Amino acid sequence: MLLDTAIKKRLRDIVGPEGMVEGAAALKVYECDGYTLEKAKPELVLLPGSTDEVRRVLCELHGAGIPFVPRGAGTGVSGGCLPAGIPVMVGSSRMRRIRSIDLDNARAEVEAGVVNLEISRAVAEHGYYYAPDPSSQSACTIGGNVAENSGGPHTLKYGVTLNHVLGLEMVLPDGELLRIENNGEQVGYDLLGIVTGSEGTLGVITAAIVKLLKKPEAVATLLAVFPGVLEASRAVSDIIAAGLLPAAMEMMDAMVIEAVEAAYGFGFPDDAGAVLIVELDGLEAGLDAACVRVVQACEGQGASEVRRAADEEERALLWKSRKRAFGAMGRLTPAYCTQDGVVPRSRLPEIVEIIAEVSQRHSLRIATLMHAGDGNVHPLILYDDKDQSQVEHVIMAGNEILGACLDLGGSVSGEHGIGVEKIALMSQAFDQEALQAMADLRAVFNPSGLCNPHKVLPSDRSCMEVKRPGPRGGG
Amino acid sequence: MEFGDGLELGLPCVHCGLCLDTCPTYKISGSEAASPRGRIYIMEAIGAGELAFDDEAAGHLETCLGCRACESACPSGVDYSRRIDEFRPRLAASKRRSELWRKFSRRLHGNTRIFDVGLKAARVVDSLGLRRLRRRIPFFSLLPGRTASSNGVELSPLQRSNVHQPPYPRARVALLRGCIADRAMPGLNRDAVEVLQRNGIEIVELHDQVCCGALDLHEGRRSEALALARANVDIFSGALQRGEVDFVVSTAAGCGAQLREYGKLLGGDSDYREAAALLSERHRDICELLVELGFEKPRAPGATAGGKAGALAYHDACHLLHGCKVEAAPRAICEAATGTAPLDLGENSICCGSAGTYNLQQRTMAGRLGARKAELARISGAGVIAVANVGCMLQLSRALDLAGLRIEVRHPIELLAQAYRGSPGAKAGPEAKR
Repeated sequence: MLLDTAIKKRLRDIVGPEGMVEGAAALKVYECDGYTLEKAKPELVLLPGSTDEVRRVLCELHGAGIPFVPRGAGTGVSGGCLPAGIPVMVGSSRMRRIRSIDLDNARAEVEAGVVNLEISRAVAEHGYYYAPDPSSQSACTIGGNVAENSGGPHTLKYGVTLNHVLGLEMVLPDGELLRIENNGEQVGYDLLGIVTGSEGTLGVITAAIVKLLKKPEAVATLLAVFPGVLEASRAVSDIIAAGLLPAAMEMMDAMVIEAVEAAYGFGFPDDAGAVLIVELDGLEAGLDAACVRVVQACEGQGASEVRRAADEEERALLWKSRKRAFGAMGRLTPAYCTQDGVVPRSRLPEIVEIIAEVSQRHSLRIATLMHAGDGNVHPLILYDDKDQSQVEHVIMAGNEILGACLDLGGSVSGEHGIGVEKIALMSQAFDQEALQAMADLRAVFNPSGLCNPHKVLPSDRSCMEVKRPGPRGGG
Repeated sequence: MEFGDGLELGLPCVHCGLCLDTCPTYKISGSEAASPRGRIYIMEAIGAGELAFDDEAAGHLETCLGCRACESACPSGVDYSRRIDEFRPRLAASKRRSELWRKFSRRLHGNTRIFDVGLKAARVVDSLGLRRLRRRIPFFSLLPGRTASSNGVELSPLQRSNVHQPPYPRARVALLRGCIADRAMPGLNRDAVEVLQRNGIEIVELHDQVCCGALDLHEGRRSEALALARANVDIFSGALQRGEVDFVVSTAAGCGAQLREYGKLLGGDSDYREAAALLSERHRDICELLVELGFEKPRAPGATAGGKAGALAYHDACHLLHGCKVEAAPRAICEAATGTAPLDLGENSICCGSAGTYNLQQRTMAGRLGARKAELARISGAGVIAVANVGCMLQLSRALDLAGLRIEVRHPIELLAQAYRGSPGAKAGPEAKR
């Protein structure tokens, strides 16, 4: 127990009784996020209501040498906010103000706890939206998005969180307030690029200035049905090769289709081996012609059917089916492990074959979901969490797939982050010098190491050779 | 279903967190212990013996409104309300409820005079100009008083409706009157009867109907709730099976959502399982039924709708939106009644804080949720808010009063009835005759 009553009292004085979570039952809730395999209960959760409160809290913790971890809505899937060996958690859920909306310059300044989708809602009536759309966008916070550099289906054309952040307000681990703004061209080093995606290891993000985009004039969403994943992934490359840049290209295999069909009843064909959702947007003119080329590319790879969502309602249901696919897996299996690997797009057919081979060798069902346009694959390994021998195979299968991603010239994380889940894989992905350079960079912001220790980079305390996968996931 | 465990409690929670921001109490407090995922986690931990069922744990569960917004958001199909309902008897048995509350809450439904006395007193207090003061007194504050729409003669539906049954009915329905609706807003059921009859729907009065049992279930009195459910199944399903009625219709979303749960609630009772499922399947919210069967559009929409100038905003009642999944129909009724599509109040899927007896028990949270709605109402610029549930109507009226806003709260059916009456050449409905 690192926290004595005196410091608790001082912290309470800062955040007030509503910002203090300290009951046993309430703390239990904070022992994990969307990654549930590893658990650790914090001693105290603080929910400050303003940047100033965050600043004062961090000063206090710094003075007392107490480690802390930031938390958004706890929808992460790599255990980035797991409080293992960390007594205090600092949550952003009471910092939910949209500070300003500047439509003339298409930007908004929002506090870290603002939910992703809320930004789009706030500006929808003026025809604007916030583009990054992780699947958990109805719950996840902007602070968390910045920490994880979140993506989403539409990153293919629109990019990830980093491409939509113009400025950040953060509190460094010693309590110093820092504002980083990028007004136009990048001058000097790209600090936004360093902080975005740092998984809460450099400080606590308290607000972000984000870019707003005008909604595209026209949108067409196509659904192509393929006999199998291999054909669908070839079609992805053909579409890009045809010179098109769809807003999104998402693939679901037969098992994922089965789960989402049970949940939402969209009406996917029973015999579909894989479906590809291709969304094109932009000017009205030329959209139909682009659709024709997508249809041709899909049919060229053996698509049995390509249809265009008839109206907004059908389009919305299609996207709902896709975006909630992770959660819907609960209908097929008591537990599953989400992997998040990346390969160069042209090598999708190869990773698909490897996944099939791994699945067979370990006798495990693996459902696959892909942000296919980005080469980002999410194999969902289904298993029974009560069967320990199966769990061992899940671990091996997951590592083999991610290892193959690296061999194919890809990466071990597309958007879910490293957190605690993939720490062991970091030394596979980077050599010792690169890891040391990253550790040195972290020390510039976080010299005391109090802010979210034991995450992202392998360290003495967190070196676990055999990583066990999370049974569940989202994203 | 490929796996067995947890079947009785439905599908597993995969801890994705998509429910969080749909939860009103999480939105207000920011604490995940006051979120659906958190509450499920707490209930599971208590069940597994990892956590004590103490005052703190009970407190997190008690702040749940039971609005079921999380169920609409859940991709895994977790039956949240069933899980928390399983827990309610334990909550009720804990010493956190006073004996006075237990006695009082038992008498809230059924043929109690509590409302009649309260209503009269409320009107007297209001006529003395003390309404704002009354709005601060527990329970008393929720009664409609002089601002209510129940400003007509109070007669039970049947006494009026007998005379005007359509000669060639398109459908025959039984009306679930609802204990609180019938007492606090008798005008509503009267309007419902009028609107249904005008649309060629015959009302078959089923006299022995009892309270739906929703309040008992929320209070953790499970056996009482089941007894009430069985009594209603006897009456309503009997009439459905005999072909005397085609549908069972409710005006209060809370009662309606409860009828739809009967199938599940009595699923383990072999004598009642099928009849209960039939009732659940044949229940319709009144707006839903009218849209399903088609309804007459008032010829002069908006002529008297709402009574005052000012735009109309529609707010979803949780038990209609999340409980019955009825979203479009009441909006269509509002649009027909006023001639324009209703405004969006914003945060439509977020509870107003009414939630059965919640606003009598968890007054602070209910007050904050009500104030949040009042603020949204002020921003919307609406002069009238339509909402299809009595509890929400009472809660919103109080919240608006406390915020000093002169915004009327009406049921969509009241608006439609009023528009019919204002339509030139309207058929001789009950109201027109008077």
